[in-house]
Amino acid sequence: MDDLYRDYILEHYKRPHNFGELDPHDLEGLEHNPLCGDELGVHIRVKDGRIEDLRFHGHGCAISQASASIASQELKGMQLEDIGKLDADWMIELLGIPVSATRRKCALLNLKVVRGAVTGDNSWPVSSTEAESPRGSAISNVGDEELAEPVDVEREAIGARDTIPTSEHRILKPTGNEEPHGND
Amino acid sequence: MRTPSGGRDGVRADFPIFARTFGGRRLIYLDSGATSQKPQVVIDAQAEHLRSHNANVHRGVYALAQEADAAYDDARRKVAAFVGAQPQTTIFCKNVTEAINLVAYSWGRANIGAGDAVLITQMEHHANLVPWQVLCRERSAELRYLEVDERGELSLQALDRELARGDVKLVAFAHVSNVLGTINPVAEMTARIRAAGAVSLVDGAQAVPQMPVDVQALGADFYGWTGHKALGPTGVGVLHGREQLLERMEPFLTGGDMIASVDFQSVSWNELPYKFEAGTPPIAEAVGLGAAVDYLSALGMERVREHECSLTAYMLRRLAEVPGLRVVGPPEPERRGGLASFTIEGIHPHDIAELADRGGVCIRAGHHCAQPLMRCLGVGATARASVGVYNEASDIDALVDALQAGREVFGL
Repeated sequence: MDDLYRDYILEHYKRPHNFGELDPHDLEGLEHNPLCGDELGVHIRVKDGRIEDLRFHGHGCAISQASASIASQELKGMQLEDIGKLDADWMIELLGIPVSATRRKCALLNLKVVRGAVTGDNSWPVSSTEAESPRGSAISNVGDEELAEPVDVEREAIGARDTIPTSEHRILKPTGNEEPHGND
Repeated sequence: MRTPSGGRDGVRADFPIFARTFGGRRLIYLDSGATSQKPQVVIDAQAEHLRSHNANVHRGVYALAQEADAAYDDARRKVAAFVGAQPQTTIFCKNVTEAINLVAYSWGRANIGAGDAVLITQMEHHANLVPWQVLCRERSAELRYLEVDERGELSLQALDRELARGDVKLVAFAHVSNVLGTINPVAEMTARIRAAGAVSLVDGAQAVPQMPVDVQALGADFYGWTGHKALGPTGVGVLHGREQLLERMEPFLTGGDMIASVDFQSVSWNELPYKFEAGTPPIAEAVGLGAAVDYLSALGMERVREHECSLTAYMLRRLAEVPGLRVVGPPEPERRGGLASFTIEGIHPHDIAELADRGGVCIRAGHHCAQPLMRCLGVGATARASVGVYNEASDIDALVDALQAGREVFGL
């Protein structure tokens, strides 16, 4: 099976959850991936300090679209004040696939948009500390044909699934009432 | 003489990087439009300069410094001769971006004012777009764009119409488009621009590495290109300029080397080309570029062009076999440089490049630093395969195999 393009990733890419417009909405954001010209926007409706509903819109690669689709399910119901605490590891673990340093920007684009919309701070991820791969340089020496990938127990566990992740994969558990999943 | 081709008897053996393997597979490099690989002679020339002839230029009286001077001057002579230019109007800079900025600052700020227009084209990459946008904003001038038609080409009639408006002071355009591959009719365009009393700047970054270029015959007032796409090192680019224009221009960057004399309150500029080369120049890089143009000259640029044209024809034919694949730009290989930008229905270009990499094939995906053009084409991005002297038909076969396998991964 393909490491990156797992069935559930491609399923989310082809039929993304929570994509479209949401009117009226309370918060919105738009970000570009300067590497590829992709853009991703979000509309967020807020109720009682939580994300009541949200929709992504825009275009991008399988990784950025699937990340947004998967994250959208987790973001619904979250306290606004918790959004700023979500980090790159949260997204990468949620995605459940090995992501190269280059594709990391694709995977994190949705979180950048949502954080920007909620916190008003578009600077995340600031620099190498969060945006870049924590697994070291991507440059290998001649003769090192493959990059050694340290075993990541969490990733193995998540990566082992082959279906569309559902709400039990939530990492930050929303405390609000369950809303229907929009255009799921 | 050997022919440019990838086989064992061809030139690929001259490029040590192709001895590398990735995941047990040989390197299949189809990204020469971004940067070329380097032949051993270029690597050796640069290393030998650093090892045996290194000193700063234009300053020393000792023997070693004179060797460095000679090496740098020799590189300039070779590079100028390679494109039919004169050494004193051949300026070394960092890359083509700096070459264009030099003209935008030194010529542009002295000659473009309110009510004037700068004309560029919709196919320009950011290096030949942003400097003009900044200049026009600063000088309250108008930046206008020549349209790209559905074939990915410019119209000489449209150029005539723009020039007839009487306000165009400068026209800047690519010799070969890095996205469409289109070869623009440079000589026809520069003749019209000259006749209208405007100045022309041609971005030759994609042209010089793959076809014979004679800047005199092309008739451009300014012609810029970059070393690293032409088998040379990074960090060295070239600007050729018309002598009368360069003589009248103020320097771009100021500092050492570009002065004749400096007083506490005044300064006089050095002669051409040094007036435009402030500070210590990229000496070893220029020497490397000199070796690169020697290498290309030995292959023969006519034959390099034949090789790239026939490989492009093969690439267009093979890519057409992939369902849902659409190539942008002129369909005739003889009207384009050695590249093909394409989309595949149902697979984003980033994923196309990732899937190509599974087959060991290096291609580029993205907007290729040409976002306005992407909007004209109605796409967010494309994947791009571009060839060099070291490529051969089997590299194209590997690309097509990888794309077909990629479609299966995506369930298409």
